Amino acid sequence: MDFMDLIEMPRVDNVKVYRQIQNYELNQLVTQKLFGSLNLTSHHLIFITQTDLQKPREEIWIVHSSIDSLEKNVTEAKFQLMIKCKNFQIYFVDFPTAYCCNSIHKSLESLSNLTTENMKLPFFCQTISKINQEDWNFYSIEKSYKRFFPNEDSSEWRISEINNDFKISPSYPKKVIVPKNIDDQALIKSSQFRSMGRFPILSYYHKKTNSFILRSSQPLLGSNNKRCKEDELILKCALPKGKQGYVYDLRDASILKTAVSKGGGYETEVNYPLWKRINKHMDRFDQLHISYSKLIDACINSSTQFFYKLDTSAWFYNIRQALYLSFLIADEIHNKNGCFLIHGWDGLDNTLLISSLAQILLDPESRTLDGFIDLIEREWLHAGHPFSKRYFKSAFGITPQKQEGPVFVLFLDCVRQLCEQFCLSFEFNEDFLIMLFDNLYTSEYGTFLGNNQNEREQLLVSSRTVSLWTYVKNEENIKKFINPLYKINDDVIWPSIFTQSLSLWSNLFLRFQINSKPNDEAKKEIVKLVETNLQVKIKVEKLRNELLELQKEAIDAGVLNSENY
Amino acid sequence: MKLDLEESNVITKIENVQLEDRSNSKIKTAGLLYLTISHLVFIETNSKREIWIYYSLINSIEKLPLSINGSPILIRTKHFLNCLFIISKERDCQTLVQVLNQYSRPTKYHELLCFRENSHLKKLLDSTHKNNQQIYHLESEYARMGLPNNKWTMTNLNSDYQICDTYPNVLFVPASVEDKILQSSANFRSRGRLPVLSYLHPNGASLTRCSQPLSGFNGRCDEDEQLLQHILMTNENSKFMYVVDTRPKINAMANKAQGKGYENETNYKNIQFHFIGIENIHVMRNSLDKLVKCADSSSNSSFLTELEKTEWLKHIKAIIDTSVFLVEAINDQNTSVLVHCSDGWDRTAQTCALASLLLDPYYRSIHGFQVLIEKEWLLFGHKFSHRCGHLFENDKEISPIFSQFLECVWQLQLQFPCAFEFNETYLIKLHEHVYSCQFGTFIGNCQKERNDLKINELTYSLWDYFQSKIYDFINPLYIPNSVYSNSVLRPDTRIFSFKFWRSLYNRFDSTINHSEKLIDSLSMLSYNTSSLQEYSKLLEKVN
Repeated sequence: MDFMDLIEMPRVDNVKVYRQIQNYELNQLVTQKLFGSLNLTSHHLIFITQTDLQKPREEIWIVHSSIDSLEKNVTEAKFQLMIKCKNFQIYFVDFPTAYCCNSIHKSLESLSNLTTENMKLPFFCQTISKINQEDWNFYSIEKSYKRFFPNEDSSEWRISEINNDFKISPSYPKKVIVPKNIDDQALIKSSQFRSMGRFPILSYYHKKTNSFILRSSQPLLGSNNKRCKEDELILKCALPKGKQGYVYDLRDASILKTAVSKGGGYETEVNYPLWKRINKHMDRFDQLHISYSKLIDACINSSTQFFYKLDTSAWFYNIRQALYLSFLIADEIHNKNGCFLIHGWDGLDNTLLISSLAQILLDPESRTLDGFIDLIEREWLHAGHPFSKRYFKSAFGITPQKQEGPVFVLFLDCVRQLCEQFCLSFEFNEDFLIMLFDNLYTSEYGTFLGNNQNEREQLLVSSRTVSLWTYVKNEENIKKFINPLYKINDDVIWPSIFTQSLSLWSNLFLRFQINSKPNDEAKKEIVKLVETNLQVKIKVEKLRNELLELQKEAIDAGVLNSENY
Repeated sequence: MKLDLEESNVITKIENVQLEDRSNSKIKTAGLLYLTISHLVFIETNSKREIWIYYSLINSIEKLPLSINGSPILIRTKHFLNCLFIISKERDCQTLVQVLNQYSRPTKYHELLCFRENSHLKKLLDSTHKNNQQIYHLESEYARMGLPNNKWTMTNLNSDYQICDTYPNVLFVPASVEDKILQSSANFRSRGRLPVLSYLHPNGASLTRCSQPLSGFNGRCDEDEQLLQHILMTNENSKFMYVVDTRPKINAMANKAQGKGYENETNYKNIQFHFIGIENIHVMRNSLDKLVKCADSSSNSSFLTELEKTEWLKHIKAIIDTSVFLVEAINDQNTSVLVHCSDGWDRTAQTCALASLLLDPYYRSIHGFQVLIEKEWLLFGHKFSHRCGHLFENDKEISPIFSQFLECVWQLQLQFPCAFEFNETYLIKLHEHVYSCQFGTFIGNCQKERNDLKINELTYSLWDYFQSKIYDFINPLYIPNSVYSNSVLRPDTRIFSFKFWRSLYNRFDSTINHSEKLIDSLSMLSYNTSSLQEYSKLLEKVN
């Protein structure tokens, strides 16, 4: 298939585009009306205003894949298309005739819904910068292993390459960390007993207390109560003496029967006597999508009952629940003797959310820029979170397969809440999180392509596209993402999880509605304060040294008595 | 303010008291309660941590149903500290309630804290006290606006408060107007609060304020109508002026039946009359009660729905919306506005003060803000003692009108982080001391009453106290010459711009407030910078 087959009319003249923009002088939203021509290319919808002596030419570029939903409104007098983008921007386009409105609508419907990974934007954007293999290899399991176990010999854990060809578990990475005493044969047996072959693997090791987090998918008990000795052995071997094991099952206890009847299940006390099972409810990704849609609806149609609408969207419930569960886990790991196995259904969504949030609370490393990227690579990309499926549509749209679910968006929001509550303890800033959000849905970079490492390898992502981290690491860009107030905080952070302590992410969810200028000014001022402070410190240091020099000279010359100094 | 228990007069001591954590009822700390003549003091047995509560700040004392541990007593303060004490002996509990009832309900001004000897404040302020006492002269503030000029003049007609006892003794009125007219207008206005100048914008448009006319169904007053014409004429840039009644129309209608009401547009030439719809003091009081309960039940999972039900932020929005209306009239349309509500001392004070703050960057400086409060609130007779319940009087007079103003300013600080010289802490402390009665500044209901009470001679001024701690209150992000601190502020008043003020309403809940506060770290940073700068100067000298 060729893009050109989908484009019937590459250009339409006499088009009006309406969008809401902020009038900074009046601090008001105003509707901007632009007149010009619309051009369709293989990846972009480009609107160019008519040349006018008074006004400079303006261009609006909309990437096809950034379009979330299209609504056509064709009456006798009006031929209008409403374009809702995945980043919450909304455009209205008035066409001169019904024919071109229909034609553009049809083309955009196809172009914005292309499912073939190979046709996605990153494969056509190699020129944005040089492909840097180092950035593609940013994460390595050996590095993580070294960090968790500086002394390999005394470690009870090993790296297994059992999944090297992605056969045992297609959504797992090639290499995983497992208990040392468990051989690869046992892993294979266990993988057959777990949904999608996702057997228990090490997610995080807390050196300070030698406690850890494992994650997996649900065991496939089924109605005839199957068991798997090897799977039981993994959990038994993993748990050192004196530690209490907890299976954190992120599903409501009431739903377990249904899970069993569908061939799934849970870890029974009889077969896993050392592990205590705790069921904690988290909304599943499809429910979360509904929550997200309601949230964005409340933000866009905010005039009446705004807070009530926010509440009923359940977005804050989900944030609170996610932070609360990770808080409980961090507390057990750091202050008590708990070790965890986390899973829900397939261990692709909430499992990763909770385990990565717990790490951010526990591990100062994950609050640095590099550590956070490492966490995203390890706990989301290599862990097989299905990015391609979950972020195919955003808050305005959904595909018939209903695979969308903004779990990673919820993760970003939770991290932002933590950044706000601990404004000194994170090396990266809110803009970094917003940048990740923007690249999640539509990107020129290949990082979030595919649903797991297996798919990314088949697509040759690392040789055909540029990594998002190449963009981040660029000297000019990285400055934008650093929190000027950051100071290393080696402690565990304990967030507040009351609704009063949380805030709506207005710089993201209300980004096209609020005036960001006063806040940008404040950000610049903070940078200035930090810089001035640094300069004064340097100056004082210099003066001090000079003074010491002078004193030394004076003492050497016998002018000053050394005992006084 | 840290005091010594030995210095305070302890009336009685209660042992075996438990303080229950408000966010987790399972957590209780054991300790002792001391009752002094001015404070309730709780001292934790283990940590020796102390909680001091001024009786003047106590809002309610509520005996809850008996539990196995003893008699629970919930004490809520006006600055949003909620303490649940569980007292093991019922008899001790009765003593506590009795002492609190006796000491926390003063009925005369002279029983208030500010009139008592205060060694701590004496030490802190006596050196500066005498000099700074009169920080504010009405004349000098009007002189700042370029007055008197050929359009506006100062009148001494109220020098003995003979026209209006709740107004200041100097008033600014149109230069062209005769005393006779002013006198008659005052007679036609509720409590004599005739239209006078509040703020003059550089473009000539003015903000004037008054109370409702005593028009009833068809009463009119020729002189009052003339006075408005004179006000209109002071501004050459507009052919008309606005008269803004900040009440909901239905309330204003109801007042007609009592011989009060609002201006009839057909009687007054060239005015445009507007109702705005800010609710009255009783609605605001109830809304705050709900808000406090909503904030207190911190385990409340439907907090946002409860917040919606309190309608608190809707009221805050209404006040800011009205002020924005005034700003647009004065600044954008060059048109003067006369504002009133019923008596012109609640909603009128809120909106005139806020509109001035939005219009004139001077009021966003620390000194200017104090001047604004002195002028619009203290001198124009906002009834602080009634509204804050300084004395044990009529509950129905209490209403958080001034607190709402402070919250509006806080909401503006959120939207414009670099536009204000003072920070959030300043507003929170101001809120506390409006109620605390430690300083004379906010005692009484008008200037006349404060003069009669000899407040200036007998009490310490809050402004002096603030001046002595000024570094705690400076906003390190303030940019005096930026776009936002140099011009008219235009806040976004869509509902999502309004936030719940956690640091005030959950001020004492450490589990709810953020662990690393941006404002604190920035203040520390700039403090560090300035002391290093001092040090480097010193080093340079030595070198």
